[in-house]
Amino acid sequence: MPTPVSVARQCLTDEAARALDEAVAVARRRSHSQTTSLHAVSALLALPDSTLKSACSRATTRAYSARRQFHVLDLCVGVSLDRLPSSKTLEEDPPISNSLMAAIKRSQANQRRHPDNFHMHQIHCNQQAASVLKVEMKHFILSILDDPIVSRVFGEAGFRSTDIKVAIVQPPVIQTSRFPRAGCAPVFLCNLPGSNSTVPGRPPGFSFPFSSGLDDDVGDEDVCRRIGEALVRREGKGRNLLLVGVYAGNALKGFVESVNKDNKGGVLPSEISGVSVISVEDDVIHFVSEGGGDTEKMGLKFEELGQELERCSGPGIVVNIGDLKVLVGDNVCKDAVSYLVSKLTGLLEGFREKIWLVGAADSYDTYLKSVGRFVGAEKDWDLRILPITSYKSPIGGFGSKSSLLGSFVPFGGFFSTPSDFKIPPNSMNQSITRCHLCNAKYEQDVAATLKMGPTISVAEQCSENLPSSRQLAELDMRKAVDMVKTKDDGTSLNAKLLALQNRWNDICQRLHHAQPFSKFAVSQSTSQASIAEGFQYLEYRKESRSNSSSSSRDSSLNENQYANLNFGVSFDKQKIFPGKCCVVSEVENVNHQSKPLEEVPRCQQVEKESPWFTPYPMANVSLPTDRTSSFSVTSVTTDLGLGTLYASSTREPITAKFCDPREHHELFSGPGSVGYDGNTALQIAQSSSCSGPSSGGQFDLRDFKSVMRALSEQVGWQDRATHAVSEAVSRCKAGHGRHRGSNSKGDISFTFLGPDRIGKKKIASALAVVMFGSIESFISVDLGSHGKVNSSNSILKSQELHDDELGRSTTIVDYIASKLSKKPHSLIFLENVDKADPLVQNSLSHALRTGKFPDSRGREVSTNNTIFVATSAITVGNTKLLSEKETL
Amino acid sequence: MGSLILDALNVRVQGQGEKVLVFAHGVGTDQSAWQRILPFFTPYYRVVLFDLVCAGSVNPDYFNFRRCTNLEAYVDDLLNILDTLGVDRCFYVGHSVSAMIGILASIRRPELFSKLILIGASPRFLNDEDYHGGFEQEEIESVFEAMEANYEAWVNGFAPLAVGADVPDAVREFTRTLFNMRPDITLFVSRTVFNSDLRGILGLVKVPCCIIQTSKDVSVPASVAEYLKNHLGGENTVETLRTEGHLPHLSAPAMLAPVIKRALSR
Repeated sequence: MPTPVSVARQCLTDEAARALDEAVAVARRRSHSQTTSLHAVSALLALPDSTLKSACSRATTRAYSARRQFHVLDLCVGVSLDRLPSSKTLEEDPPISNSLMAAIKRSQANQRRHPDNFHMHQIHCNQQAASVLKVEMKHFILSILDDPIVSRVFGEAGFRSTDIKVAIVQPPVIQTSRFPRAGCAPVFLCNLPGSNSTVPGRPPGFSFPFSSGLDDDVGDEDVCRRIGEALVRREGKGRNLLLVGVYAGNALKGFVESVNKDNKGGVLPSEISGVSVISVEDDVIHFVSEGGGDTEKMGLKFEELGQELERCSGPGIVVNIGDLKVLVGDNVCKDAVSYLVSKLTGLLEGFREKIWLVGAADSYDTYLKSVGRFVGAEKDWDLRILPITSYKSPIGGFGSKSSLLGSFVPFGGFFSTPSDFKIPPNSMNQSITRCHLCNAKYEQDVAATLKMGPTISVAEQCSENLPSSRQLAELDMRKAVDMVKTKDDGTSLNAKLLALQNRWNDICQRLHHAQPFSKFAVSQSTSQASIAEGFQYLEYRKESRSNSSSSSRDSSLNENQYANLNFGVSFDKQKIFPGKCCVVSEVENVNHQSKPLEEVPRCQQVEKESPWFTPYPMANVSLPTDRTSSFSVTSVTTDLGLGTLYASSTREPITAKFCDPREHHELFSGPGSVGYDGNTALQIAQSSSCSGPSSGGQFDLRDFKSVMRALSEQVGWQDRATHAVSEAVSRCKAGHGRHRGSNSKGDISFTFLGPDRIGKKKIASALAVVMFGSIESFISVDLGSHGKVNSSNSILKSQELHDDELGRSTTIVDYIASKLSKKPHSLIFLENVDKADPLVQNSLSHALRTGKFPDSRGREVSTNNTIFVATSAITVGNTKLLSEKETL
Repeated sequence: MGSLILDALNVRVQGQGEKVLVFAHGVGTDQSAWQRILPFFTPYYRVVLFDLVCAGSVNPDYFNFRRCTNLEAYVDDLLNILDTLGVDRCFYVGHSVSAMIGILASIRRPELFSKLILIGASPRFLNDEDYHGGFEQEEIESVFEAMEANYEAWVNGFAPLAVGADVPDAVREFTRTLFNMRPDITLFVSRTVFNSDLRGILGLVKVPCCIIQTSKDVSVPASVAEYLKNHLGGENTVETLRTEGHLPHLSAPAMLAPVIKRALSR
């Protein structure tokens, strides 16, 4: 039954209702009997500055020009509209079809599901009754795109509705970037940004609503855990377990294996951790099936068991008697079985507190038979039955079928339309092997860096991002690049660059042709991104080369320019040139404001230009001492080693100066500790409550290196600082950080100390971009100015907006709280934290302790997904107290 | 915990009467599926309705992929709900996967259930040597692939097939609820269901069961009802509805309700 237009309109905000009116008008013009989603699409596309259209333009495949593709889209929509049967001209508006109404309902439900949005929405139009939830334009479009007819039409026009959804969900942060952010997965209706607060640092559209990090044997694990729990209930009936079910045998085996594998915890509840399992299964099979069997041997075995039990000091021993089937088969020796049963009964009586019997029966029949055969055994043995209904993990199939899908499940809601089930692994290559992979990659990278310089690491990065099948081609390519580089060492730079560019083009083309699924925007965008990056790097190199030949003093300009080019994680090549003009002022700015830093960029520059012959000895870096797990130590070692290479391999005498202070740099990363760095700029103390393994290692951006890279592009001169920051972030995100009691706290906080104001701000803003995907997530508050508008810094223009708002808010605390509630995924940058008023300090320390930021009226906002960066101009000695307080 | 689960799983209690009647829906539907047979029971029973955690009407954030790897998690939920509501004895009507859940729950807490009414139940959907569950492993794999490849197409194709009878309303309703589920959850739950095998434990059920089977059901062959009858440990009856499809409560409520009523009164 179609819905009247007026009813449908009530469910929509004004904006969406206007679009709906347009759709109805389209339907009426064509004298269709109902207004469908197609009409809505047609109307949405026709609207001036239509969201849908702009999203489409961002989601276009690059094969065709956007204009042409829009033309095709219009045609396709027109044709499908033509196909709809037209009816006699109606007097009234054609009512809303069921499918369109369902779409509206879905978006309503979706909006309702996320109280954040809902709340915001209610604030927006607080005069309306809360009973009718008005659907916003964005949700309206998203749910229309869910309609199969609509996605088909878009498909015909060469769009993928998922791409469009991604584009809608992700606001056009970077105007120059014509593709969705690299590594971003398609979005299902329920992962709108801000709608989910489970995982910190989630870029828009990304969501991990569940505890993730599934591995394939999770199903086994679950069953084993249940068995373990069942063993614990010693009181009352049923001390000894009989697993019944088709999969009981498997489950029992799995349980025994997992107990033997890690005795320390895992599947067993704490009460009985430390039990050992002795399987007499094989002996039993042997004994009963050999027509009489060797009673003596069996007796010996039982004596052994008894001794074992006597010796056993732990909670006890689980005796696995295996499948009961062998006891009730046709050709078993009855005497042997009854001997066995009596022996076992004896054991049970002898060691009541220390022994568990565990058996399995594949069906109830077997169980009945065995009970029937040895009467009384059920009672003597005090058997408790545990039904086992499944053993295979529901996701096991993915792993076996294709590694692509192996980690599909943790990605929960990405798949709005099915073609996206096969997300290329670039967004999911994080599985359990992540850390090894990282290490290997780092090592490779170190080697490559030694040999070839940074270009290779770009390639490396790229190849890591690409689907594994492409990696071959990629590696191949890398070699080619190597060759080009070595060969051309002394020859013309331009030729070299050209060759490299061609190579990259080749890679791009070849991959896209070779891989049928390269049409997935995700992978495409990644490779494009990497390639663009490659270009950009080359550009950068070119710049730096040419500049350095003319004047080495100027080189700091390049550094900054480079940083600027990469600002906002924009990979677009074209941006390089427009980027230039604003650089000069910036550089001046930097030079004026931070005189002592002048040298550093230069050093960096120099070092970037010079062929990388000698790595600076790594031994200078003192390792964090408070690590507990040896694994994390190794990984950190690699990290730091890499960082050192980045930082200090150079031959210039001037850089020796630059490096020296850093030798003394000590990096403590424990909570409550302060790390400081002789006489140079930044000091980092971090208190990071890790998000723990539940969110662990899910996303490429968490990767230490990419964070590091993005940060150091921003603030090349604060190398050590960026390194420490990115290391901390990636460690938190990758989940091999410290596990604090509860994993619920996902906030991260840093304290940057030191005089370099610009550096701190830039690092923080770069971090915001890296972690949350947009500069809009960067919220800057100057606590020192006590509510005054802070516009003294012209570098980060986008922040002035936020600062302006501060004037209107009542207090800083309220300002921060309101920002947080609007945008939980943000980075709050608190300048001059030492000058903060007590209210702010209280709120902050409360937030750090509890993960909730209270505003002046005591309402609390969750900071689980927020990164706090506090800065202070004071240097080391006198700030210890403060930072200790802050880092808690 | 208590009210949380009631909230999360949209638990509703309707009707008056002393005895408690629990309706549990199957995969792909939610509690609204019982809407049409509710009026037959609310005058006489306290009817408990709830959604499985995998249902589309439940916030997908509650669906924990780590927890719901087998049916025990759903059993926990069911028993939690009943305990929270203070139900000490009830009749249980379960459809499809909920029938399995009911079976497991009644093994764990036999005193809680006075009777199980199993609609479209199957202890095992896959064929085995001497068991005809209706699906081959390969078929299932291809179904899963189809779900992965094009969920919408799969739903649109599967819904009429599952409903079976030519009842457009039912098809539409089922399609709606199927679409409400997030595709990955549907897939995960389906895998869980198809990986489950209750055959070995049917004998542990001591609660009397009534197995309601339609004359043609794409998911459950007629032989399965017999198998259930013969293997369930309690006193069992089989009722065959003269209609088609896996969802008689959607497609033929007027036919199903009296059968349930009869079964309850026995």
